Amino acid sequence: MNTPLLKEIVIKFNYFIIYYVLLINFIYFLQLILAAFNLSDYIRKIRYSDYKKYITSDNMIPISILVPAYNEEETIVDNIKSLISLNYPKFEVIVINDGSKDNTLNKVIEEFELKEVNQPVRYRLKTNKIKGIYKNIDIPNLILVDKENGGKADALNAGINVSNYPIITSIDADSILESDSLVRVVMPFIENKKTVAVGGIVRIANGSVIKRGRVVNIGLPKSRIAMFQIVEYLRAFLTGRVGWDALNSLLIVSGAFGAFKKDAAIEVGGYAKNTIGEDMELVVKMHEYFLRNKRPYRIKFVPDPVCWTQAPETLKDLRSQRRRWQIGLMDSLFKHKRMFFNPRYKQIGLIAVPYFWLFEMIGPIIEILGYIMIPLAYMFGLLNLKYFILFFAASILYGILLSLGAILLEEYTFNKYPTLKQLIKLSIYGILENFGYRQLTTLYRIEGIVKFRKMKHSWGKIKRRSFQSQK
Amino acid sequence: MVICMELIVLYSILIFSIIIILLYFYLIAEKLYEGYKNRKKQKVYKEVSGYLDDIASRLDEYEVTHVQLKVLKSFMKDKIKREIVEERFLFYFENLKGSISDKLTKLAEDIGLVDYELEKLNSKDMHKVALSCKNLGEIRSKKALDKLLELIDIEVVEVKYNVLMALSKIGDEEAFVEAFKKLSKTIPLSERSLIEIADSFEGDKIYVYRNLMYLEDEFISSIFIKSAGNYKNILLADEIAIFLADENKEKKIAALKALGNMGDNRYVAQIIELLNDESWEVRAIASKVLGQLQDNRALIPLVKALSDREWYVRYNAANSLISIEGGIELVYDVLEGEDRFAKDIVVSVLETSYGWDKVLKYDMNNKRTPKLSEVIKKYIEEKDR
Repeated sequence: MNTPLLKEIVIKFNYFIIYYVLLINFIYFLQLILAAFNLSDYIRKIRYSDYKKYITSDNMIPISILVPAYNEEETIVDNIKSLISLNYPKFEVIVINDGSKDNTLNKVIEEFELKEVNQPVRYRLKTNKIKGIYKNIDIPNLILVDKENGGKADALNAGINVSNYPIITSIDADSILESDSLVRVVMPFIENKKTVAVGGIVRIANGSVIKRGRVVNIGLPKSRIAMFQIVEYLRAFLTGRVGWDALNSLLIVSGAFGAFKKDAAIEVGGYAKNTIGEDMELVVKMHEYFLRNKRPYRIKFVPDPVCWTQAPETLKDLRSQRRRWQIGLMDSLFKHKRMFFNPRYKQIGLIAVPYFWLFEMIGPIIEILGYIMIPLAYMFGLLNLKYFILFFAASILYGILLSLGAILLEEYTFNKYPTLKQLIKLSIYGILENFGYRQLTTLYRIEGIVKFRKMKHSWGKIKRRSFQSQK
Repeated sequence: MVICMELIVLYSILIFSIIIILLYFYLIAEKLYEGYKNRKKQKVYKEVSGYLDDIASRLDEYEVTHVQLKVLKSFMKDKIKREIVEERFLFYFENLKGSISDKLTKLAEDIGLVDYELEKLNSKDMHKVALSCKNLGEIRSKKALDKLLELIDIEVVEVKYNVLMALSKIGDEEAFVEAFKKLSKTIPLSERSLIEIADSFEGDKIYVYRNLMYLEDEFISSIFIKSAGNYKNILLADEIAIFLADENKEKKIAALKALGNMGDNRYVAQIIELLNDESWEVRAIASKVLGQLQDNRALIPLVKALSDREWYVRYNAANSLISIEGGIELVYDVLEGEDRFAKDIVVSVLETSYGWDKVLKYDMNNKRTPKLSEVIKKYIEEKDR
């Protein structure tokens, strides 16, 4: 290949990168604007919502809370205590011990004085063998299911089989719900019978004071990695999810806190076992199924039912988490590739799925290529200094603006971090995350892409800390 | 090309920054305005709420004077004072019940609060309309009926819900019936929210049920049959029971649930017949309801239902069987029988803490041998082998 041609290719590729960066940030900004309108709508809606009336109503839809647990001995007891004291008319907590190798099963049995019962199970979804079901007559809304290890999706499917109520919600064993979160997450099912899935907001508990399974004082963590994630979560939920919800194109309901109509989940085959992104996979399956069969349905995101979760505080755990998220995303997109730019799937096929393919899946590769190619092109004299500075300034500034925008939305709407000190700290981290943290997570995502084939069926674990030890 | 791109990047950063800065300013401005409004509200709050509380607390004994009315009307002309008046009224309606509630409604009409809310119903902002519907429902003024009925055709779910709930609270039978007759099963609201609306009706419920249970629309009709069951008024039982023989499955299920809720066992024979219904959902609900009614005429039919081809029917039948007095004794017969499905389901229900407790009590109070607990254990051991 001759040098002028190579030079031409490199220059063209660099142009492509900067247009790509422009386009992706334009889309993010559009999401931010849509999210602002959608949130403002939601805040106004709260004023006339009847949700308080339903807290004590017999007509509230009963709900089964599924808690899959695999080696969760550190947090499981606190988590169950917090769940069984939730403010909701009729619900059951189903803890599914997915063949834990630690003391999860015994800890739960001992703490809640459970006894094995021979409860019949209707296997509407195929799962690994259920070894036993445990109950305590004095805590009638707690069920412990002990089963052979089969992964998170398999555990959730077993929970669905055991459940008695028409709405199921999945909660990670390391998460804590606010007391009225359940009522708020179920309200869209009450308001509109077409609703098949609802996602709530996941917030980071690191730095908050937790007592007896409840967040009693919301604070910001000392750990820098957790701080960056707080800003990142605000951007992902208050901008991303709310923005997609405004377009009726939500593809992800977080596994940490989402509610589903049980019949709809069973109709699409439940959680997919051969993926590590079972939360996204279930939602994409629902979109595909209902659109293909021309059945009306609705998938909603509601921004105030809060689920508090622990964010990883070490780079090792963060890396494992991001790699897993990227693999889950790719797996789901590949499984439903027929939806890509397919008008049969309406806005999901024409907007949401292509966006996730072109920007969320391929995005990390383009971003890193940009960070490598553009300095190289500059060093070899193929690009001028102006262009070089332009690229870096643009990508950093866009990132800062978007983070600040998300922090603003938070302050404007739910204002969980009300003090000026908290606002300043969040804003500083919103700026700082663009100098290293963002690039690092992009690298982790690339690792996910590289290891996709090898790891798409594995399930990474993050070391949990007991909530009692948190401050 | 480079210059063009530079411009695009620069302009986009500039525009995005301006938007963010404007948002920051907007946020600050709004917080400042909110603070200013709150301070102003604080200043007049005591004056307005004190005056109003004083009137409200004596409303049962005294009539409101012209002077008081004049003062209250003057409050309504000022935005912040009007807000306080509205807040206080909503608080009274939430907390004061009985005859005082009618007087408060009259007062809200006299001072122009109802007209103010009605005016807001003309807004194009659907959030405003929905909120006004909710407030009008709390105030319970019949003046709002016509306007609310006009709004029933609006396709916005939030408005529709609040219109229906407002009509329910106002409690005018004819308006409520008219509103529901206009609806059909295409209504996007869930069944439970509509039952909640029906349950909340504050007028003559029997009139409403008698008019709406018989609608052809199975969805709306079922809602009122179920709500009638929640009302637990014996006067309605005969009419609900008619639907046990209805051709429509939904109405049949609604009637079963309603009678189960009411605990009225005069219709046990008809319910037992439904254990042979062609729809498994009807059979499953019938099995469950027989347990709720606690009538021993159902025991033998429930034993038969343990052999139903549908799991849910067997499961409900087993639960009902052991819950009815004398049912536990029939477990011996089931375990001596040939049907493995029937045996499995009854044993699994007896093995729950609730069921096992019943078995132990039975063994304690009866001298029959072998003991039931032993028969069950033997069956489980054989099965595991």
